[in-house]
Amino acid sequence: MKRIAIVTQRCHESVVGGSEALAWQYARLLGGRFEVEILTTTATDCVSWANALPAGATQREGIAIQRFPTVFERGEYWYELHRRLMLEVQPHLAPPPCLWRAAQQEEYIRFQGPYCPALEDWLLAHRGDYAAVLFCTYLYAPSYFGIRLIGPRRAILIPTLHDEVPAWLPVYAARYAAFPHRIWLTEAERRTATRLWGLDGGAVLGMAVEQAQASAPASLGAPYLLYCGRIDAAKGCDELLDAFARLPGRDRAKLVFTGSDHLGLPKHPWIEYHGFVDEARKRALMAGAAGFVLPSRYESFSIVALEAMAQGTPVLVNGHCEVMREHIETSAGGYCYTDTAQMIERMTTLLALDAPARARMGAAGRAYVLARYGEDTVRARLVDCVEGVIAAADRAQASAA
Amino acid sequence: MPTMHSAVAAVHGSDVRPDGLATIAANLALLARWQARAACWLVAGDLRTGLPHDLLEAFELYLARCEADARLIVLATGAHEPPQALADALQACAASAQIELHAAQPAVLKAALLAADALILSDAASDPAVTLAALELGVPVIGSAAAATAALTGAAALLWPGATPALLAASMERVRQDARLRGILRERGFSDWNLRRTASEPPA
Repeated sequence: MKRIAIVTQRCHESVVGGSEALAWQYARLLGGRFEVEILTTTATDCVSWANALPAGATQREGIAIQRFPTVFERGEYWYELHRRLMLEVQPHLAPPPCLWRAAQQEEYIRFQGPYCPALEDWLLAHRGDYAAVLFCTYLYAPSYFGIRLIGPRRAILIPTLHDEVPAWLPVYAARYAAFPHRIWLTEAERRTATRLWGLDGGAVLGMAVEQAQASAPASLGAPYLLYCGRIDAAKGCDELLDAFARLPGRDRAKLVFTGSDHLGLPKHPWIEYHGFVDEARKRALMAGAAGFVLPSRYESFSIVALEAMAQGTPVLVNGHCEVMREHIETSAGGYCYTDTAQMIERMTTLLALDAPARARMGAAGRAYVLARYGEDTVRARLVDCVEGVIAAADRAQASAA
Repeated sequence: MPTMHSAVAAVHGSDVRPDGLATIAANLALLARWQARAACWLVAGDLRTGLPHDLLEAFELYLARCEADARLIVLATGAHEPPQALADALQACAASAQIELHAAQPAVLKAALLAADALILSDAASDPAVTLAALELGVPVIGSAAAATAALTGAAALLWPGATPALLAASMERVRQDARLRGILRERGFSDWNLRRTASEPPA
């Protein structure tokens, strides 16, 4: 079997993160066809990037993992650079050229972390051993600094791009323009790349929805709306709380959260926080919910919303997020909103849907997920993509020899 | 007026390891001052005999022809404080308001490299460690071929044999205006620097 590597910023059972989950899933899906190795850091925390795991080789479910230490934790220096980026540089608003020179833009990426020179050394020393190297998520240093060590013929970028301020730094567009093999999760993500970076080449593959088997619905004694994931203002959870607090008939319903609470959820009779739940409980909560709400503006795919759709549950998403809007408009499996008033109106509608109407909307969402993001479908597309890249690189190498 | 910087770190500029500068934080106060839309040029070296006339003349030409508010950062390596004679000479020159002089402490050097449009090499003003740091950090290098040596920068710099002030000024203007050229120099510089990290085969 040919050997391939997947570079990602974190990889561990305890890590919760969309791009990390994607990298692991792709490793698993490619594992039957290639000898897959994950190259990652020893960090588990995506804010500090502190070294938490031993460096070196290990195995997880038969897949080889090489972990490399980060050389510094994110600190005040980066936060000051970030403050300047957001308040002074504003690459998403200011006319070009960017106030920061390229070297300073790269300094921001380096100190955003996780910065792993040892991972770069590994890529340099072993790049000839890999038939292809996949880099998962555009944002972080392992992809940005690592991909340039691999020739463009054998590097595959999986950007998981969304429209966020750092993505507008011109060095990202310049760097990734040189690497034509890209995997997008949705057409909307590819359009975002065209708008931000002027790039549109690559394949739209998506991510397999692994938790698609139908579950018996949970019952919490009252109709409820559900949110699962990182509970954070950056994910729009503060807007969700505000909207639900203003919901007519709020006391007859519940707002249920699972996941890590970074916001500090207030204590109210209508808020239920379930903490971390296992996959079976999560599916049951999804199946029993009147609606699943995803208030985040910045999503490049949102596996959790698709899992809820797979349970036949209508979803309510932030219409400012193009990716989520595309899921809803294509599937008819839920609603979008664009302001708080509309969010309240849609939540009211979801809580009041009669059973047949909910079933029709839920069935549409489930059919969409199974047709597009079933595991076998995504695996076949992914293997085809990677094999195509390797074959083209081998041909080019042979003709150059 | 040139700014005298009192060095406190017990690190000489020329002792900076090129593979260590990436992980050093820049002096944020200087970086804030230098990150302007106007051009910013960097010269570094052992300048005990003063700033080379060709560089000074090239910068004055650039100011006159291209950007009157451009800045030149001069870093003196190998000493905790810049030579007084150099400070006096810069203070006396016509472009003194646009020139800043500092000792090349690591945090200062890092800030200067991050803010600079290019590092300028001259026969009498260059430092191999600073040149390597520029390559590592993706800062274009331009100037005199004799100051660089082909072994140090290979094809990664815009170098001229027998560079005259007019040629240097024209190179500064070209680098400033040509984003594609800057990108090529940055990538070649990085490749050049990378070759020093490992003797591995180039990618297919």
